[in-house]
Amino acid sequence: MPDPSFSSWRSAVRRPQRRYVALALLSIKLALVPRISRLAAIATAVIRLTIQYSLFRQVFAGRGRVGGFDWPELRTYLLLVFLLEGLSPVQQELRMYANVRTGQVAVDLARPVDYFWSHLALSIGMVIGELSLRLLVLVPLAPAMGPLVLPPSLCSSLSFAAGVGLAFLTRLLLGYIIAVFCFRLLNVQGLSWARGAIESLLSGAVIPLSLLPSGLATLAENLPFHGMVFLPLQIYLGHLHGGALVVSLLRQLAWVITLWIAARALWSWGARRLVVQGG
Amino acid sequence: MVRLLRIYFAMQAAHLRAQLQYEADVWLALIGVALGQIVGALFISSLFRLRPALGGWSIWEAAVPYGLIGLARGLSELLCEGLWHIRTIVARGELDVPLVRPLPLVFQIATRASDLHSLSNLIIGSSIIGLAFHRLGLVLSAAKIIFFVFTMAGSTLVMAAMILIANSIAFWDRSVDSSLPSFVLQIADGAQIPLSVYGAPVRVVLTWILPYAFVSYFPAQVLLGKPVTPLAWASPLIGPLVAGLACMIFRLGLRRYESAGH
Repeated sequence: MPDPSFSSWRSAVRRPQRRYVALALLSIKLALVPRISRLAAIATAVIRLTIQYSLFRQVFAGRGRVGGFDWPELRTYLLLVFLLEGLSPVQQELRMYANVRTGQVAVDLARPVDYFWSHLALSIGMVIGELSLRLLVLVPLAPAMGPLVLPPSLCSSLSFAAGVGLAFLTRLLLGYIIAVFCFRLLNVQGLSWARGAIESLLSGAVIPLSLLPSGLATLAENLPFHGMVFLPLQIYLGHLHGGALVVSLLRQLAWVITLWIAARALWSWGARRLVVQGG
Repeated sequence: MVRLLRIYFAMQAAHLRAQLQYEADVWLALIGVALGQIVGALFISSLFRLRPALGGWSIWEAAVPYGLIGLARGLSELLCEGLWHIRTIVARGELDVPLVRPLPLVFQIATRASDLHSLSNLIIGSSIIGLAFHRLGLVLSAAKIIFFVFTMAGSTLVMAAMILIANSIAFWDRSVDSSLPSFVLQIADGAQIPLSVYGAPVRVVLTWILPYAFVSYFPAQVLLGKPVTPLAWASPLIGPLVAGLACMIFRLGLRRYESAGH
């Protein structure tokens, strides 16, 4: 009887798309390994959520709507930001940066899989694992925060799902583009910090964009970060309808395509300059 | 002690010189950290635009705890950035050599790195505090200047202790790329805002579990001449206490260290 792991490997070779499914499944398993540090990290993220909740409750105390949000909507917004933060394949990105830096990427590039698609598959797996953990934490936590707002229609729910997909791809592609700079720099920590800082403000993760000064909010709306948190949550809360909703989603799709083209072009340029020493 | 200090400064100066060989990296890190500070300031000013006296503090009063966190972060990055390397060192079994060297172990790890990007935090943090005092028309008395100096020493120890505790997770779980330590240090962002804004549970967490309030809120109360409890004057003493606790946790973890095999 053939070894089952070997036969699955053989069928993966015959049908290349199976390799990526196998990578994604492997990544989900890795993400779900119950590690003390992962559970503690989620607990810390919950503390951060509690701090944000406490802060905004004070800002909204005794007020009706602020920046287009009432308190139950903002409460829901904060909870969903906690969930959407799980869309960031941080560990996968750090591994990729380290692999470029140490030269391990040469081995990765020689594997019989496309580097981008395998990164995408591993990231999808990691994100599914992370989202599952965050959902597990949220289910008992949400009632303690008070009644939450649900999407007003099926159309909002489906558009929200599309928005979340685009938000994930935008995050992934920005991280992938930063990895190119690993070919030229000793480390990309500075770039990562800059990206993290800009992203947290202009995506609406730390504060809804409509609560920012109008100049900043306008700037944010014209950048890809807008689609990473604020756009999907506006859709979820039913703040965007009809034509405006379709245009916003299409605009984000255009950003994803632009970033994808830029990422592929930059990577083919970066990989050509790869020099790995030693052996 | 003098010998330790001499070794300490020689090590850290060497790290800083080494970084200057990679100028682009240094500039990008300086810009990245500065952007983080600017974004934080924009966030807080947006909150105060919505509610001008948040938690009973004006925006310029609130700038003081904000700046104090920046300063403490900058000092810990400059003086003991090496503590962030614990996870890699433990996972690779690289503690073997430091363990047999005739120097304190935490000292050896802390001096594995010193980062120039700390300058962004130091410059922006102190500028914000200076500007706030100027706008509020406050002048520090000699007693408060002495308190400020001791507070900065204590605050650096609190930040270093939190880095040490969070990174010591490596002894129990060897995932090098765990987000836990950065998450724990990110909680300090919460203490950039006056504690009086928050409900009781958050105040307890930021005072007694992750004691960042002793870096920002309590010292700011003293410096701004706000009504204070004796606890606020005791802020500089919290640093050595938390550092002692961190060393105990590190030692506890060290018992689990089992090299990597060669």
